[in-house]
Amino acid sequence: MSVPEPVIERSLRRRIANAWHGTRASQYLSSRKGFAKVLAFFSYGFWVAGWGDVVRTGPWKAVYPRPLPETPREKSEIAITSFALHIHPATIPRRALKFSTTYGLGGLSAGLFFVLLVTGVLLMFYYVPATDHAYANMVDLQHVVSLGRILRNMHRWSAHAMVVVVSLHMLRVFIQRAYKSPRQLNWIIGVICLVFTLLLSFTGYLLPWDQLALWAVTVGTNMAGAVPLIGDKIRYVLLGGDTVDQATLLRFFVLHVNFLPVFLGIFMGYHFWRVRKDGFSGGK
Amino acid sequence: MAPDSDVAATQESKDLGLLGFIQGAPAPVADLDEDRVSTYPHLIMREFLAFGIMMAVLLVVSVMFNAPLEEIANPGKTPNPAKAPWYFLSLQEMLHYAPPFIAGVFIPGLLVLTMCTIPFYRGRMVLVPVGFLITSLVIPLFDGIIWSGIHAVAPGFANMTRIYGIPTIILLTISYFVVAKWSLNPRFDDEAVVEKYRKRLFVLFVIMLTILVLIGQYFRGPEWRWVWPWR
Repeated sequence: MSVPEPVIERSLRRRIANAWHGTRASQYLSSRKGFAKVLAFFSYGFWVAGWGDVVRTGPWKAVYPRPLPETPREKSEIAITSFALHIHPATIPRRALKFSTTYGLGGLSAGLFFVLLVTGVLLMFYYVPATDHAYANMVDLQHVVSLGRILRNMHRWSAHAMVVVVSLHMLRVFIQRAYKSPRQLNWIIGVICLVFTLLLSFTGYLLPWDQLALWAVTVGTNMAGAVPLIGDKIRYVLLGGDTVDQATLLRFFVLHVNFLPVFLGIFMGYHFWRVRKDGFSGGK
Repeated sequence: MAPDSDVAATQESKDLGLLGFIQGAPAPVADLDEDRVSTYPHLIMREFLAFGIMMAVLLVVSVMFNAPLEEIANPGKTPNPAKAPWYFLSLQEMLHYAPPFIAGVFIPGLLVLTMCTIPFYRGRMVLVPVGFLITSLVIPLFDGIIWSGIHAVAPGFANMTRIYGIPTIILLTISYFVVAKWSLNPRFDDEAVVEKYRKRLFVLFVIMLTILVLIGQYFRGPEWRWVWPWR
């Protein structure tokens, strides 16, 4: 048997470092005087060019390859050509800008949904939907995981806030009579979004698997069992059995992280699209 | 950037050419005489600011207040009372007075359906669904009294129908027509009066829901008995 030759570490970084350390440029930059001269040279360049030009010609132009918009046409193009911003029209009525027109409630609902998606995905990295793991995961999030407590708190409080903000959004739309023709369909979509928000919050309630979760869901699903004739069957399907158990936890988890967010997202997209098609009503 | 130059751009886009005549209703277009501003930066920056404030508030709240976490779930140890999540407490409070089918299925379904139909009532008739929302919330609270009344007259019938809350459903149906009759009152000939009542009734509905939630959250103790939260 032949003895394998020892592998000599020749990483790219090592080779670059070797090549660099012998050069005159490195000696020049290492000396205090040389460094000061190079600094002075580039500072003079920045001063001559002006900071504005440095910013405008920087490498981030490759990411966002446009000068800052100045004319109204350029400003409109931002909303038209950007994927993220084309949710808005290029121009909006001035009345829509007034805070008391909307109180920003619809936008805040969408913002809270976004926060819940991000924190929810991060929580999923730590959460196992099993009755013998779930509660321990919660305790770990509180005490072991870096920033886990804040992550869980933020998900919880955002969820409560979303129920409140979506309800207030509905109240605002009702008070302003923004549901009248041609916006009847969008009002119905909004009601569906409210129901989905409540269901999302309710299914999330079980996941910590503490006493609060177990009994709140027991009370809630007992109500579903009161449907005439098929109530017990509906309750059985919801729970995956006769009591709140492992099967229930898995069902609620799947509903909470897959089915309901996807459908709420689709209905939200539909809701926004109809706002664009029907025109913005507020403040008239 | 002066706001006038923003308006100038939209003025420019208002030069319309006549292409031809078609039959039928005109296509809906935005009100062209309206004062419009460009979305960027006016709206985008406001949204950005609002999102930033929301994130700041959420962060402060999340650092200051911990989400509740009780002891591990134990099916053998029923808390008294077992409370639903706060947004369902109005229904649970109703469950105290009405049978489960009414409080848990019929009324929530009815409220959602009535909500959905609101845009389809014209003029003064909008008072009908809004008034009906209120009667749907109030009448089930008297289910027990209704039942006792029928029980005094026809005990067999009362016991048979209680489970599905049929007396309550009949009373709810009657209330719909009572509200409809009420909306024909001459004082609602004036649109402004209708508008005033429409807002007031809906706000009243929201306040009643909130009160039921608050009662369920803070004023209900073991066996769903009334307790004072400060005692």
